[in-house]
Amino acid sequence: MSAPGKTEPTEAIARARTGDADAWGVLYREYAAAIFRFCRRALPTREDAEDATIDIFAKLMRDNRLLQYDQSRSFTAWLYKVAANHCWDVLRRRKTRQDKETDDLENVPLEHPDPNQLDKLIEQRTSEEVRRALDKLGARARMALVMRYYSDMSYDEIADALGVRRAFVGVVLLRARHELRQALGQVGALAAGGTS
Amino acid sequence: MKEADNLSGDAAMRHLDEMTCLLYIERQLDRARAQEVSAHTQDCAACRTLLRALERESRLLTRAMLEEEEALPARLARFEERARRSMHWIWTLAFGLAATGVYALYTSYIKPWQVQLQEAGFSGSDLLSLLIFQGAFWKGWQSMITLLEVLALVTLAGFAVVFFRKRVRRSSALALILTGFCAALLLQPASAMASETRRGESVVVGPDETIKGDIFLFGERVRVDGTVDGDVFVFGHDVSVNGHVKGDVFGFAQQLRVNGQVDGNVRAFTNTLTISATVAKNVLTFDEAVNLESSGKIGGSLTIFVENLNLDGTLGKDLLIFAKHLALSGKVNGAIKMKGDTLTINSSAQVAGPISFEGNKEPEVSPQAKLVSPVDFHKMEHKPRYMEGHYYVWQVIWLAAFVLWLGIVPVDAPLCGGRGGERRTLRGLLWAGGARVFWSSDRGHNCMRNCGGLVRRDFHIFCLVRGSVLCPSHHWRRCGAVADGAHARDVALNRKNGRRTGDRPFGHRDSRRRRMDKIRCDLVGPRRNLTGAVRPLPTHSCG
Repeated sequence: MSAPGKTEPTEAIARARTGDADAWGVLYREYAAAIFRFCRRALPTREDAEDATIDIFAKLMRDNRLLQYDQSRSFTAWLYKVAANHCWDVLRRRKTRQDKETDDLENVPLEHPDPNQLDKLIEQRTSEEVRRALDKLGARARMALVMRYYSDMSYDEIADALGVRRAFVGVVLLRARHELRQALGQVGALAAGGTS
Repeated sequence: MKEADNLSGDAAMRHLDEMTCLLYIERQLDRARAQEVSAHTQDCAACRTLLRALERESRLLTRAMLEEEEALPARLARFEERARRSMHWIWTLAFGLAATGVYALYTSYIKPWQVQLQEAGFSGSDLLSLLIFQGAFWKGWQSMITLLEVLALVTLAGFAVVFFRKRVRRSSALALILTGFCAALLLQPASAMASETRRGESVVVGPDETIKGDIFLFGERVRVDGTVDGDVFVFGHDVSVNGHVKGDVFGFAQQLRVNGQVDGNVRAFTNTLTISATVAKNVLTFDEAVNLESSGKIGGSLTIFVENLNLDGTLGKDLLIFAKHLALSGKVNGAIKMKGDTLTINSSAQVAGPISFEGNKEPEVSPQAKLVSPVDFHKMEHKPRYMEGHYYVWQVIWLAAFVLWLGIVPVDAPLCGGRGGERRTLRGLLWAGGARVFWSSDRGHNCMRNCGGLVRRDFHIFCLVRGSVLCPSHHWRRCGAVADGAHARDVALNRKNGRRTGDRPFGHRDSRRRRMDKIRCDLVGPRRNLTGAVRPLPTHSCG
């Protein structure tokens, strides 16, 4: 991952587009860790993440998919998008998607949390607990959260990757948060109140 | 947003729902709705608390995800190195087998030929020197560059190509370098080429002319009626040597007729060669048809790769022939060694030495022919010897050679400086293997149809070299840029949503995004450029 304030390795990207193996090495060393962490958050196991990371870079190198990259845009964002598509494909192939389909999401009643209890819950939880809770989420919920809060993808990009309409991305994210709270074991207290 | 729209109008009467709050902090609401939410939260403590809670939740999520609690697995760290190294064993195997093949080729074929050629009257230290660097092949070049220099330059050129392909990607630059190299090669020997050269559609050395030194003749029709006190190098369609050549004749021609006396050797690559006069020394020729007419006489030996040879004249020494058919009616003062299809010895034939014939059919020998011994006939075998071990050894060696020259070298990256990839290499291997199978079947067909012959059966290396030279090294590379599919989808999506390409969703100022960005900056730094000011979250409670 590019460090704060660092510019993207445009020269290496340009050389990699022409098939320079050394430039691919530079890009791999620069981005492999970030892509691995992304895959680690998105996929169920560490082995899956390793495989996915290798597959992503191998596919990029083999097909020289850098030719599809628009250089006027952020390379990091593009790379995350590729990774997100790959991870989602992996999950879909395994049929591990447990979320309801898009049409169902439209009618899902969203419980209104008690703001104070939610605030308290967030304050009490650690990053480690959140990561453990993330592992318990459904594939789509986890993918949505990872894409949004790890790789900072836009709603359009998330909709594109998950294959849902853009209007439902917010619903998916909200449901994911609810699942996360359930996983954190506080759903009862949070959903008890309702301020409406 | 739908949920947000449901709330418009009576926002002041009801608390904001969670979806609206989420969209608000995610900057996904339109400007008017965002202003309504902002105004509401200034008066409503519960909603303000919910907004803060959601924002803290977002921050917690981001922090939890961005924290690096796991080191990069060693497997990933080794991936690049392993990807490069994974095919090394194939390289080693291919090079090893290819080297073995070269050695076996030399010991099995070249060395016996050399012995046979020496027995046939060609004196020389080795076959290469015999064919290229002696007599007509070499005269005129002696003052230029030595064999060693040629090999050194070729090797250097090979390394230069590999080196510059890694660094100079533009084909024009590479072409310029190669052109310069070729020009340097051409300019260097120019000073040494002092021989006379004649070009034209019809080139004639008149009967009254006497050429001192070597002469190079290029033309559609070439006639040498005069005297050449040197060698004749002739390239043409219809060539006649009617005069007197005191040196050698070296000809590339559709038809070459030697009607005049040649004091030296004749080396020819022709379609039809006819000799009706005296050639004092040896003849080495690759042709479709050769006629040594009854008036023709070769003082030395005849080594010939041909389809049909009619020998009606006189041959001073041995005959070594690789041919489809030989009809012998003349006189041979030496031995005959032949590999081919059929041999016919007519009644007028005289052979002073032993005759060895390896062919498909029994030789037809006229009882009136004068032979010192019966023909030693061996029937040629065409079917691969599947039961013998060396058959498989050769198959592996040839496959390795194909893989090396037709598969990996043009396709794989490391040697050629391009990018690597296991799958592409494997694809190259498969392609090479397929080519090898196809070539084998084609060769088998030729063996059956043309009854073999060393030229057809065993000159595989010509096919290999030709294939490796002609094989385009960039055939796998995709030309031109490919449309950005994901980007195109973005554009379509934006168009569908009534937004222009590259627009970001409108973001209200009071957003969790700035805070998220700060967290992100603290951890890994900004990844996107955010536009627009962000309004601070209201802090006072609603009434």
